[in-house]
Amino acid sequence: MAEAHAEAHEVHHRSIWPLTVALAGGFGFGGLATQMWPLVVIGIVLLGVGVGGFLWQDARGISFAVKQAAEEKPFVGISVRKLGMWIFIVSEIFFFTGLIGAGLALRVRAPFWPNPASSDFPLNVPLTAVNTFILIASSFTMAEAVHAAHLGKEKHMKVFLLATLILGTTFVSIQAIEYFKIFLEENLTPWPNPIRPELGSFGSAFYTQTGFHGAHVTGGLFGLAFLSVKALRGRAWPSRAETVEIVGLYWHFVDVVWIFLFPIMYLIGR
Amino acid sequence: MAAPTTVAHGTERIAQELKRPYVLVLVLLAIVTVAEVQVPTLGRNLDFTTTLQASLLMTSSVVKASLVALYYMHLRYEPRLLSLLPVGPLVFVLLLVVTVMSH
Repeated sequence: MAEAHAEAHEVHHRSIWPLTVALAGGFGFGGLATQMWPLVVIGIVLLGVGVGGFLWQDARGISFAVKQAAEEKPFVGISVRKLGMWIFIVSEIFFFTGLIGAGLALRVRAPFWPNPASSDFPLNVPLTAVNTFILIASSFTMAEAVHAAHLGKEKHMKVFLLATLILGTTFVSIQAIEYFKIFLEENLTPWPNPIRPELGSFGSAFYTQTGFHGAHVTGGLFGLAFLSVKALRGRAWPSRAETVEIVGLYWHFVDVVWIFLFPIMYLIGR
Repeated sequence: MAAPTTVAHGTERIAQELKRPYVLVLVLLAIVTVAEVQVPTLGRNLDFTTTLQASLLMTSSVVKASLVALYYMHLRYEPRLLSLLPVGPLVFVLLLVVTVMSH
C-alpha cells in the first residue's frame, strides 16, 4: 500500500495550464465583480494562454495525464478524473443554486413579474420549448457517443459526437436569435428601460440566469469540438473512452440546469 | 495495484451490462416537456394558483433531471457514494428556497 501511495505521488501531473485557466477565472470574474477592467483584460489574456498552452501541448503529444487510475477509500474504483469532474459539477450546482436563489429573491420582491399565460409575455415559449427538446436530444446523442466510445465503435462515436456538437450549436444559436428579438422588439433589457420599465427585475434575472447557462453550454461546445476534431483525425489515446465520458458528464449537467431554468423563467409567473 | 483493474472492470461493465434505455428516456423527457408547456394555459383556464403551477413544474423538473442523472450520467450504475455526491448540495438548495420565501 505504501508503495502504491509513493507511486501515486510520483506520477501526479504537473501541467501548468489548469492553474493558468483557474487564475484566468479568478482575475476575470474578480474584475467583472469589482468593475476593475484591467483585471478582466488580464483574465482574458490568461485564458488565451491557458487554453492555447493546453492545445499546443496536446498537438505535440505531451501528456500530463494522471496515471493514478483510481481512488481508494471512500471512492473505491472510481477514476480520479471522473471523480474530479463530479466534484466540479457539485461546485457548479452551488453556483447555479446561488444564481437561481437570487432570481427567486428578486421575483418575490419585484413590483411586477410577467405572467407566461398573458398575451404581452415577452419571451417566446413555443420556440424555447423546441430549443429545450434540442438540448435534451443532445444529451441523448452524447450518451450514445459515450456508449460507443466504451464499446470501441469508432464510427458511431464520431457520428454521435458530431450530432451533439451540431445540436448544442443549434441551441446556442436559437438562444442568441431570441436574445436579439426580445432585446430589440420586446424591449426586454437586463436593466430598467423607459419603454417597459416594469420589466427591469425580470430582465435582470432572465439575462443573468440564461446568460450564465448559455456561457456554460458554449464552454461545453469547445470541449465537444476538441473531442470531435481529434476523433475525426483518427487520433486515439489510451483513456479516450473515459475522456468522452467526462466531457459527457459536463454536457448532461448543463442539460439538467436548463431542465430547471426553462420552467423557472418561461413557465412560472407570480 | 488493484485499482486499475477495478476501473477496467467498471468500463467493461458500462460497455456490456447497461440496458441502455436511452431512447425510452428521451421519449419520456419529450413527453414531460410538452406537458410542462401546457401548464400556464391550463392553470389560467382551470384557475390554478401560481404555487400549484410552480409545484407541478418543479416536480416534473425533478423527474426529468433524475432521469438524465440516473441514465445518461450513469449514476444508477455508479457506487452509492458517488451517486450521493450531487445530492449533497440539494440540502442547501432547500435551505435557500425556504429562507428566501420566508422573508
